[in-house]
Amino acid sequence: MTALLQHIIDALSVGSTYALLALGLTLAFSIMNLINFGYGILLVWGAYGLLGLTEAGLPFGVAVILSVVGVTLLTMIIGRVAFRPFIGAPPITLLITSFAVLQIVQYAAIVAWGEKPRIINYPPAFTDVLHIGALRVPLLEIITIGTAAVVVLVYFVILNRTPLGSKVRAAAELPDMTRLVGIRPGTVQMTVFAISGAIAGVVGVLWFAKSGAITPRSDLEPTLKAFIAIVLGGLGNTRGALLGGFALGALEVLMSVTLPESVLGYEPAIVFAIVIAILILRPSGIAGAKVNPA
Amino acid sequence: MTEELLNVEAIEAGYGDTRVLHGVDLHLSEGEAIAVLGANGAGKSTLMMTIAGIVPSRAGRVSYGGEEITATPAEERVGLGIALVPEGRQIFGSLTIEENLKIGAACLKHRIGATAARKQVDEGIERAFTRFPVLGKRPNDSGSALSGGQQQMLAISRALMSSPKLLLMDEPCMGLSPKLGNEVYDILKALRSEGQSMVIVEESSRRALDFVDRACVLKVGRKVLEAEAAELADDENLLSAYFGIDQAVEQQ
Repeated sequence: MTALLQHIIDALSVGSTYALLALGLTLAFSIMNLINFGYGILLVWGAYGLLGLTEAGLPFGVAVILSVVGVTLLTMIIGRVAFRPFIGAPPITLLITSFAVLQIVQYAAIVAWGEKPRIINYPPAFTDVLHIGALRVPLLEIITIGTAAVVVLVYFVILNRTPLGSKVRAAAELPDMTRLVGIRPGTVQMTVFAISGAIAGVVGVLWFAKSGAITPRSDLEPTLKAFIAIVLGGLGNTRGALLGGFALGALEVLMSVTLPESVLGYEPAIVFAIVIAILILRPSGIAGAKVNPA
Repeated sequence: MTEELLNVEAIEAGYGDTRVLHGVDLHLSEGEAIAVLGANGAGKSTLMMTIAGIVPSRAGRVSYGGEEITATPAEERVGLGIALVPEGRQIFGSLTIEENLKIGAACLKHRIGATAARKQVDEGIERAFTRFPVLGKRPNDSGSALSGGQQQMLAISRALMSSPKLLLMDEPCMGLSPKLGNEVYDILKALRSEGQSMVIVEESSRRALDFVDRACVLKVGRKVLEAEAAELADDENLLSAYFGIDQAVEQQ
């Protein structure tokens, strides 16, 4: 029983970060058909920002806020400079643009921070472990689950309860009609880049608390996990993205618990086999596809 | 009296390699209503989308209120006073009735400032709900839950939220029962009596000719006829010769 509870908390925590990543990516897709392979590098830059700010002596909380704001701005700048000129072009053009963005931003990180792994000095709240009876819960897992809940809540409030949010939903559904009522596509796009960037900033803080070292190439894993979650959930659909993220988290924990040690190394291969199977059998994802950002 | 509102000159437009409009002229004075008639594929909707700014014109000129707007993007034209009720109504299904109305007034904030816009939005919603009580009964229902007739009412109300000078109506009765179609025309007539300028696109002529000032007929992207509505209504042979559609369809 305790073991089961432990696994559920683990799965929720891992799934939370995947779900958030998938949320940020799928929003950009639902509005701009943007498949952004440069998403993970935003987490990396956020983490480097946090590293630099804490090393400069700023309190951790302030550094977190500044790094999230920084990633949000970086995402908006990238969106404005690199992606916006290609919006309306075939999705493949945007996809290739995202690879170019990834290269540039990644090499900027190499130049700025070097390739040596760096470690952020997280406060004890991120590293302590809570003991409840036989249950052993890292505080980071609770922080992760709680943060994800707050982010998802704020996301839905913005999208469903604010005028800006209704513009985003309208643009995802009927882009031409949205222009016809006088909404500038640029306003909607920048809103989406800001939301998607803020999510990347938050996930960056959580991600490297768990994984430890940052390198300029640490972006691959979060990017891949986000895309797997999206494939599971269906591209362009928010509820699907969240579901896909948690499903992937559950799957990973399930495998780490049940698979014999000799097979554990093949975990990514098993995950990708499942992804391929889903792409063949149910290309619109387990949630069924319909573009819907909220 | 006859202040020019809209002037379309030799407009050419299309999609990809396909040219749909081959030099169409359309002129509308303030307070006037004109019907654009024609069979399916004549280019009526493309003409509306070109006036609204969604389909770019490749040649020719569009001016509105004396100013050239040929290159003005769609999102700015509504602020100038051009509102389109598009074919198929294009209601935002993921937005509530009230959100659909509010978004119709999105251009007001730029035009008249936030405070004045808020007041006009509230008044506009009230007017819409008075005009269509069925919408006011369930303002928080999503647009996708509405029937075709209710969606058309919402689409007209949404367009009116920006207090347009020029209302473009693209096949307002499409997909509606004859009874609902008549109701839509009653609304349009009421708007006409308030002095609303409009361009109305129709496949079937009879109902439209009843209440517009002039009508023109498009055929494969060219204007083949333009006349006073009364003249056309009297001369059905002329109309059907150009129109080329089944009288049976019109009898509906």
